[in-house]
Amino acid sequence: MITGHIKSRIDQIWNAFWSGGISNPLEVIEQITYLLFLRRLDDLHTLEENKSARLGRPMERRVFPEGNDGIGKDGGRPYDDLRWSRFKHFAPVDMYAVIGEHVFPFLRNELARQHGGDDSTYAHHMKDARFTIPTPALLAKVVDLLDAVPMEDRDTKGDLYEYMLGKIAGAGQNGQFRTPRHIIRLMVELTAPQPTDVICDPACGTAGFLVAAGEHLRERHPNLLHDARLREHFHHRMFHGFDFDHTMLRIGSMNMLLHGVENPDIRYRDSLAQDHAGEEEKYTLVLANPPFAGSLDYENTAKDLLQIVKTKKTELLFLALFLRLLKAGGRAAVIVPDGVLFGSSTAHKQLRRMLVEEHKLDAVVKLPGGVFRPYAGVSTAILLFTKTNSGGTDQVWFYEVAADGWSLDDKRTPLLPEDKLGPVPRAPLSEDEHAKNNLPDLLARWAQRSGAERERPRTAQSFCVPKADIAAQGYDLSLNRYKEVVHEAVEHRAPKEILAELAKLEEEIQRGMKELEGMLK
Amino acid sequence: MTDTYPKKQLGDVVEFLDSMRRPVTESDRRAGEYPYYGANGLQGTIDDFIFDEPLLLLAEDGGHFGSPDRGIAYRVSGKTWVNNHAHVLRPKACVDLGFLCRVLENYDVTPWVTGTTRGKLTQAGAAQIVVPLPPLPEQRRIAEILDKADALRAKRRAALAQLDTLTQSIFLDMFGDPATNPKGWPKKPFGEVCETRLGKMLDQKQQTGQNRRPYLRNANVQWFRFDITNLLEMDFDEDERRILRLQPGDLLICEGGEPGRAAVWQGEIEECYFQKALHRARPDRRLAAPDYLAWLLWFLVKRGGLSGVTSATIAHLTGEKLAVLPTMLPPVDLQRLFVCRVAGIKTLATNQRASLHQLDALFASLQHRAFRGEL
Repeated sequence: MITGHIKSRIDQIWNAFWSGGISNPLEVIEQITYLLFLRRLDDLHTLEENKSARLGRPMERRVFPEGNDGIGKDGGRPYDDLRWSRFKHFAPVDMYAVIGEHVFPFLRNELARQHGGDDSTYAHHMKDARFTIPTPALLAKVVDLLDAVPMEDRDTKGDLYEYMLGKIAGAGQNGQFRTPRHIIRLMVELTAPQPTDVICDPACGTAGFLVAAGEHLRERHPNLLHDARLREHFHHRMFHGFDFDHTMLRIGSMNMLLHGVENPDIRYRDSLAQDHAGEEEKYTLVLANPPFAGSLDYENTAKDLLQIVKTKKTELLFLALFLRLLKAGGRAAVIVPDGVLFGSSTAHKQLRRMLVEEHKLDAVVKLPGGVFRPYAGVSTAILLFTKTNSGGTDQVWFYEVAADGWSLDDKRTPLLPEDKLGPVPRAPLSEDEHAKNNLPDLLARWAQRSGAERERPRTAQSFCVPKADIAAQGYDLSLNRYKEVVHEAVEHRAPKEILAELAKLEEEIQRGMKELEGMLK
Repeated sequence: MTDTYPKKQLGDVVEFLDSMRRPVTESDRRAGEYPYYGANGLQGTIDDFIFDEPLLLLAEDGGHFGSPDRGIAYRVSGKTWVNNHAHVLRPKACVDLGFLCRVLENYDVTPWVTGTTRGKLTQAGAAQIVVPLPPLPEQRRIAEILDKADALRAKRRAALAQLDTLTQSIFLDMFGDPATNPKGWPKKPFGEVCETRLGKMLDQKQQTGQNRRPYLRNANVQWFRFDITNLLEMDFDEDERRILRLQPGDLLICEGGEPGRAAVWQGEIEECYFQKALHRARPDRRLAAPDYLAWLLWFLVKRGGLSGVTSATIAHLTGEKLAVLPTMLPPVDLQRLFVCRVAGIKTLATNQRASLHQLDALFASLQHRAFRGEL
């Protein structure tokens, strides 16, 4: 949890950027990310220093080498000057020169090289780091403000970065937008990641799904990090995120870092365009909310995806991709636009048939239309499926989310106090509160999908549909296709009654006209 | 206005209580037992009140100043709350509230309205409005006459509203609710009851300007009637004219927009065709009467019976979906009887609408004369 005090400090940093001339929120985040990274490097270095002092041995790993960096006159600046703890005390003009002319070249060149084998994700994404803070004054102010933010605690760091990421929400282009955290958490809860899972988000953006999966694991499997093998897996092999936007990659990897994952695999991949040799059947869990905008040319689409389904539609190609990435037995929770559920093109039908007949479609969770407001008004659903290559769909569970805890207009104001929001609220919800936040109920019923839920009528908020019914509907997966509406008996008056009423009115009109006539005489 | 009655400025005959008003943001307003009024009447309810007496409210901003027929003043009484979009007028002893309301309700106040985008009638402006002021008993007589005439209009409107529900009532009485089919009539897929097809796709590039013919599009098809005030035209070649020409008794059904909205073509114009956004259904007359089917669709659309067929998001009633629509089929003789009754109601409604029109004219005429002293 971060306090209001820290929040207002972060807000101050943003305001400083705004008034300092950087108004693109993505750029602000990027520059802050670099500075946070520098602060971390300094902390790592200090840690090593302390260790060596304590043990009376020379330092095992130096982030900042000894001597000077050799840039400029007189052999350049001492590497020590590039440390956060040093330059934060410099005069603004000097600090600006050090960061622009020495620190950033260090980030771009030296860091990756001197680490040798350890080219961590973070160092990797710093290769093309650009320093764009325009003035010494702004830099000094931002460094000052950031220095005062407590970064010792992993939870705080992560929440803090999340809070900042909340500010870039408006930067959606090409169909990208930030998935609301409670929807991410819901999908993570539904798939319950295990310590041995290999998790992939092929359109990871700020790595929200991976971060939430990591947090979930720490919370539900507290011993995870005490087991050397699992810890190694967690830090180096569990998390995989792809994106084709370098800024997002930097931000995504920093998000993971601040949430305490040492070396996640966050890397550049154009998921739909590049061939997937080496990636296919590698993952046991896919969590994603891919951008579903527009269509691609066949020439620019990975051939292996077109073999699965011949289409230009990105949302269908992503579904094909998920199937391709998953190991047999691997599961997925992914957001799709409504059209995927009922679209009538051959590709639509073919993919749905594939999910139902060749794999195991577990559930369709219909989300309310306003979930992605104000960035997009699209209607969406969460598809939950397991790749089996051998079918296995018996009953598909449908749930219609009518309320997710926030108003469904552009404001998205919370409808409940904070401890009653999200899929796993700290306080239990009453019936009335359920009507404002369906997510806890959804989660509870999901667990019952092979039991009590089978008995629920099609008029209920959730119900199961046998595979045969779905096949009979041409694999249409829209909830409305199966939902039955409760018809209230129409209260209608008998025709005689209405006619009597009419006759009475007629008579009154006649009488009224007579009276009026009398008054006008 | 003639000089029959003395004239006064509004500011001289009423007291403005504007300073007592208090606006409440919609989100902060707690619904309650008291009415909450704005420029054009009741806005909602609130849990407190400011005024407790008969008063006249006159729109300040956001009123229908450009079209005073729609009313710019109205009476309130009892415990009320008024926001700052309406002037609050308390008549002085020399003026009757009912009379003043009749004077102001359709008054053309444009000379006193300021502001270009959203007209505003300031208090200073409103105070200058010139009102006729006959002696008090005469005011009351005029108000009484106008009230009487107004009540007649209201009754006529009420009668029309009753007629609107009559057809539904007769349908339900004869056939039951199609969503549940309580009388257990047999059902057939729509495609087996009617021969259906979509109309011609409009292609701007293919237009040669020859053989242009009027055609119906979605907007022209309203429930049970056609709005043919603006028909578009496109080319129809000989084959298309043969296939797509409308005949009386053809049922036209909207594919998008409000999917399922339908009307029966009566030959409103001599030669007409239809566009791709519409289905034309030609029922097998041994099975179904077109007007019955139109009403059946109305019930299905209005009561959600189409929801399993169309999607909630992209609302389209495709040919595929229409063809499988379960269609409740009472005996065709019973359907025809229903159609006869509907026709009877339609005639009645036409007469009543004409009568309402006359009553509106009567009221306007009385109002016009009243304030000139010619009543």
